[in-house]
Amino acid sequence: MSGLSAVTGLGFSELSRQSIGSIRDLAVAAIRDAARDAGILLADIDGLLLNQSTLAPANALPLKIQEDLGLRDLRLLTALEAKGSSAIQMLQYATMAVRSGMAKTVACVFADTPLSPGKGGGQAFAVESPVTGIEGWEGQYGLFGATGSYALSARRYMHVYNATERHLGAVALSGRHWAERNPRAFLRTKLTMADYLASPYIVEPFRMLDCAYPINGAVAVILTGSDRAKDGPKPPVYIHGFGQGHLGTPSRAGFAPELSTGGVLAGKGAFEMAGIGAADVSMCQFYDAFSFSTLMALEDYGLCGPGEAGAFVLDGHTSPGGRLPVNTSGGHLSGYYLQGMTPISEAVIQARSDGGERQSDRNEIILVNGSGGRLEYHAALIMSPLPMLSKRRG
Amino acid sequence: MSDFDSTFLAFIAQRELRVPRCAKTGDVLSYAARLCPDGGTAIEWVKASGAATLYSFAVYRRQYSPDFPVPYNVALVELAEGPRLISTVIVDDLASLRVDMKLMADFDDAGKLVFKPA
Repeated sequence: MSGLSAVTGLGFSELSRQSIGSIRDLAVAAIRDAARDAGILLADIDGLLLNQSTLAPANALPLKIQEDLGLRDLRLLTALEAKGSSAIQMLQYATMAVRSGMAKTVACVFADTPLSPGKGGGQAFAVESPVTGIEGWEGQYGLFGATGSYALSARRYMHVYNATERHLGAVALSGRHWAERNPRAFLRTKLTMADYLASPYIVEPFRMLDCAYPINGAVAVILTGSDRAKDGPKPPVYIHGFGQGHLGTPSRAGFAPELSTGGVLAGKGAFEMAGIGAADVSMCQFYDAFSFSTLMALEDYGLCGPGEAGAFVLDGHTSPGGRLPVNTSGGHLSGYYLQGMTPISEAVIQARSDGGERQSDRNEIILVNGSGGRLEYHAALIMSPLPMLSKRRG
Repeated sequence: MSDFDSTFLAFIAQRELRVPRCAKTGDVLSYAARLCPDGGTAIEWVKASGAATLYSFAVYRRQYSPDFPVPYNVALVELAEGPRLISTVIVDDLASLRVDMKLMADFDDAGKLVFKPA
């Protein structure tokens, strides 16, 4: 089965913990950089997909950015909102657009500025998390941030599977090992399990090291049909399969959304479309807003059995030298938190063999995921430097 | 705010914990549902026994708001009738919290729904 589409350009704005411009300005910078990387003019872009953080002010990334970029005659233009699964979804819809012939060259961009003078990382995301389903209910109890709602999920998982904080810590350490080799990563100092365990809790069982590291910045990709992909200066990165999963699991007795998520359904779709199975995945780029998210993804996508992900990571299999590299940029925890574009950008870099000191030779079949809400919304892609994936075991 | 939400909150304001149930089939819904499984809208509100278990909990240790001085716990409680909802467990020692511990609903002086170890 040949690639369904290809990523031919990858662009970054400046990434910083300081204020460096508006979401809109950063998005423009990233798209310009992506076009340069793809060897095209901005005028060659005929499709534009936009995603901003749910927590950013409404209209921070408006359709009007088309005019900032001077783009005429767009045949695809929309803003997407699917929480953390949005960036992957953008690449999915871009793929559908180029395959249908509706557009030829689609730019997809995410930009965010959670940090500003007087507004640090914790406060940026300190909004009450709706969990119960009754408007305003959580306000009385101080359930602030995704940190709190994910901590609830993590605690349940840990109870059911006898997982410990060392398993969470193992994920943080694995990402940090990769970040040490990534000049673009923000947290690169060596970290030990003792350091992790000694660090203070934010919302138990999570410590700061279990949470994404917010930064200001933007990432954009350029996507075209796979037939046109070789025109560009960089090696194309082909998309071979994609899927989504949103289970709508009711919050009541008999259901355990903390143990199995829509990642299973998203993975099923992506694997079937690509003609592969979990056993064929050589590398994972996971949406790891929390260390716990990586454990869930390993299990939901079938890389580990139920409850086994913690031991798998603790044994070193996801770290440099391990047999299943995961989050080779350092991910959200040690690399940079640009929501769904973090795993996508690193998948492209690894697939192109552009990873420098952190380049892994296991880049042939890369599973890339996005997840959002309280692990409610999931999307996945299979990416590869290979234009064709030979038929493999399922 | 939808009628579903305001109905539930009106009961809470009267210090009553109620659960939503399909009038036709008797199936208990979650607090996030708005329709019966068959798509019907006839929902009735039934008094809960107050019995529950602690499905999960989180302990805030970093201050997010002056209204919520740390440390404090947020609980995801599963009512005996089935639905889960966010609340808090009133305990002297946070270290005594255990997943699956038995709880009983109560209302504090301000009329907020809370749970106590049963």
